[in-house]
Amino acid sequence: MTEKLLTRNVGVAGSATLAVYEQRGGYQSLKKAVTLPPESVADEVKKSGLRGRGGAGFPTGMKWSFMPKDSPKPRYLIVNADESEPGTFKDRLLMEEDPHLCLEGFIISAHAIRAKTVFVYVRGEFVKPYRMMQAAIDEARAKGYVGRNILGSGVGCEVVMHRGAGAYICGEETALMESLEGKRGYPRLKPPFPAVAGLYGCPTTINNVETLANVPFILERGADWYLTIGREKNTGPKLYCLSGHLKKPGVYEAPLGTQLMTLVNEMGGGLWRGDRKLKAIIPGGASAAVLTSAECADVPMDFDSLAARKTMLGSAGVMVLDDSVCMVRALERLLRFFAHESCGQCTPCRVGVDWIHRIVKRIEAGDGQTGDCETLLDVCDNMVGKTICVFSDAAAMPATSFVNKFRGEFDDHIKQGRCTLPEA
Amino acid sequence: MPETIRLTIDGKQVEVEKGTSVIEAARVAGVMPPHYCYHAGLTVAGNCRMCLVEIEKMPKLVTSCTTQAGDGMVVLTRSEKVKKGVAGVEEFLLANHPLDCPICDQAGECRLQEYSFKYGKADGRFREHRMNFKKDVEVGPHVVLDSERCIMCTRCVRFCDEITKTGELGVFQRGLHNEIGIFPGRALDNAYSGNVVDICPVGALTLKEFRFRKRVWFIRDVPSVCGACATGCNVNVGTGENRIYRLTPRENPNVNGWWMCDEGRLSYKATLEAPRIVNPEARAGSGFETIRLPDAASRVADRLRSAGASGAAVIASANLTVEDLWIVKRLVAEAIPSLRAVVPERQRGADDGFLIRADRTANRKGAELLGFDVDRGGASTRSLLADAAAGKITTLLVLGEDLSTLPGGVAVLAAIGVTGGLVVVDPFVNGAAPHAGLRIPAAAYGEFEGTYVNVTGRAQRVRRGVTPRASSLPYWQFLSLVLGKLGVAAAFGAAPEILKEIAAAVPAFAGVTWTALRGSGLPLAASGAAARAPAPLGLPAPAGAARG
Repeated sequence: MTEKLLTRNVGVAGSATLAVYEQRGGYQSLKKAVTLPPESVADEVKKSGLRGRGGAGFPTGMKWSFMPKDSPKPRYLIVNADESEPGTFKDRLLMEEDPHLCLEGFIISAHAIRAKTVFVYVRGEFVKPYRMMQAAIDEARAKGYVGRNILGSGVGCEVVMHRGAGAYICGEETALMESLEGKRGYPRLKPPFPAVAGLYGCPTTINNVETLANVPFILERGADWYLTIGREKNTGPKLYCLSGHLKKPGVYEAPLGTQLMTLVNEMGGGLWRGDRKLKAIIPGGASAAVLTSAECADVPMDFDSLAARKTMLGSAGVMVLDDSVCMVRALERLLRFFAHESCGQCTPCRVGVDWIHRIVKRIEAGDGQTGDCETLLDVCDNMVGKTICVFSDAAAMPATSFVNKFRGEFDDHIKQGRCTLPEA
Repeated sequence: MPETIRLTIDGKQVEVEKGTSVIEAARVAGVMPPHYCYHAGLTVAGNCRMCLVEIEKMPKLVTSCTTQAGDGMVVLTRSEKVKKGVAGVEEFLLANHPLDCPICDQAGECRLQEYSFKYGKADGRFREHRMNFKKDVEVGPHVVLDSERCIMCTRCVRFCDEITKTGELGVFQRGLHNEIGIFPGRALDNAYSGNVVDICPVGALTLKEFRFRKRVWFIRDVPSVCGACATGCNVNVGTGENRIYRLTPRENPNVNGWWMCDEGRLSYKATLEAPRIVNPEARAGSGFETIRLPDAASRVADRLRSAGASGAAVIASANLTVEDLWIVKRLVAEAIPSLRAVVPERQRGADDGFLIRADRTANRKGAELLGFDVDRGGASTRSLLADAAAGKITTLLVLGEDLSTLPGGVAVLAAIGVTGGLVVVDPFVNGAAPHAGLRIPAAAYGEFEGTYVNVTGRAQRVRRGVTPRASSLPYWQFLSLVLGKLGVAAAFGAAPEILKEIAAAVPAFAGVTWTALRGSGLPLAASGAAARAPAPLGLPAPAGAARG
């Protein structure tokens, strides 16, 4: 059993309070960081190989290095806490159970990129995480960890909480910035990238909550120590969100590269019923391509290993489906979400996602027609890589993988006009 | 000197300024990709995804409007990959589009139709129910919205944000339910609202004054200029069955860009609605009798001759063309020397900083360059009308002006009306016409050819799209007849011949020829006009406005 880092305070009584957090060693990294020049903090993070936990796995240190050195404009750090990917609930746990760890990470990171203001964009439905974070900020400010002159070091950082209004697309970084500016949540054209012209046209870095929660540990114990956790180029601890037909669904911490079936069987306790068999696993949130049970045998859960299997780690939302699941119905439910959440800015996404949803809905309802699967796959092809953001691709990915890997079920639905699975 | 770069588009080498988009470079190469949301006069939105191109070394197709051209770039606009991508986008746009082309005003000039013809499939595979939206929504006094036809390109939204800076329009709802709409409590009622109809690539926005009036393929567009103010926006006069159906802006980067104001756009309506003087008429008792045109010319000539220079005067509108005014000038100079002639001021409101000028006449600058008293401040008109009211002027020739609306004009009508000394030459039965001794039908806007000089000194052609009503004729033509009766040879067959004479006689017009004015007109050097005076980019932002 490896040491728990991100979740070390989870379940501890009063873990969200400053007193308990400090008592368990909290804010030591911040005290160290504010005495260091920003560059050395950033260098340490770069050396650690930390990759973004929001879904794309982009190296955090490199992202920070894109911030212009000589811009006269204000610099911002945005924390993306708009956790909305179906099957994902890790940032929520962090903010509810250990808001000071998050906050310490935010402030150290802001220092590293010389940002004086941190905006935390919290998913609108996350009322409790919002309250916990705000309480932590207030407590920390009173203690001098947040404010114009942190612990008398001369380093200043303000943290502003902002609640979203319930749109999945506002988790896309540039749509989030539009939303934060009070505009419609439409993803922006890139370039310019946020580091050059982000929030209010100023240099901006945007990172996920979990990503920044890693930073205090890197500062405390050093990049070399961090590199020993996980696998090459996929370093550090990771929070996996296990859901679906498991005995013990929940958030589990394990190093990057942990075997998928280890997560499912050892942490998740295996399938919920002994008479069921594993059918498929969605390894990285609703946008990730599904893996058949046969494909699940040897899957190290890290960015590169999953990319090599033509799916993705994404937000590490592991959704386990047993053999009672109708894949047509499951896909209909996924696509209903995407059709509901497309912002509608780009033609292929606005029309395409709704179209493929309606095809699958029709097949599910028993009105499928010969050729529907071919149409669906071709429509997906017309959606992929042709839009401003990757939402369109994110919707096409599950659709194509479900149809391609479980084609027989789709064909049976079409031929027989009904679901062919026995009643569960 | 801006830096230039070279790139290859479909095998053709083009050289463009650094910073140019691929779509504009492709325009230079003559292979402009299909597009809906892109408009050269608006910011780039990149949302329709129609202008996809393939660029060497780039793994995915990219939208050419959002991609900067790079040195050495190799661009393909018609590869198989591009064709599939573009056809896919076109299919998406048509999926939920209503099949109401037969009754859609945009049919015939609809991008969806054009690109379907080029990139569309013969058969559809969309088997789902089409989306339903509200149709026939009045969003402003001139504009009607049909959301079912909308493709969400947001050109109209950007126009109101960026050009008029009035921000009436926005996108509402989400995803496939997205809809263009006006913000609560607002209306699309800015002075330039009609432009959103022009730039709407489909039939979603239509002009109230044009919708259901005419199939566009029966419309013949005559390139002309607007006569509603001193800006002289370039327009196409849309005609059919010998009447004007609409005016639409014609691109001219030196004058109006791509735009025109609503007042100008609808200025043609007066020619359809206001009562016209149909035939030359002379006062007979309490009414009028129709007379022959040569007789009318003789009577005018007789009156002018008998009244003499001190007893006669001419009031000419600055809406007359350069050619019309030239004949007035010859009348003054050759037939009745020292005949008083004035071109009254016609101001309304203030310049709006964009296209609308307070000077609501089309050719004041032209009149000035010909040496007329253009009466800035109005003193000359006031003094002339005072003399007329006092009985010092016994014959008053009024060309295209409504004497009854000039300051002091009503008193003149009372004084001169009873003597029969008022000669009205005008397309319309204006306020002074009932008091005229003689009234002559003039050709209205759209019925004559000639030259206007706009406020910046650009000479532009105003063209004839329809034949003059009944026996109406251009001012110059009637005045030439009068000149003939006064013994001065002035036989012109058409306006270009007069322009030729002006170019030879008036230095300001030296070198100007009818053909040289074709297209975007010609800046007159003598007027101090800049060869390239860029059109203003839009209305100035209202004070205190802060829109991100």
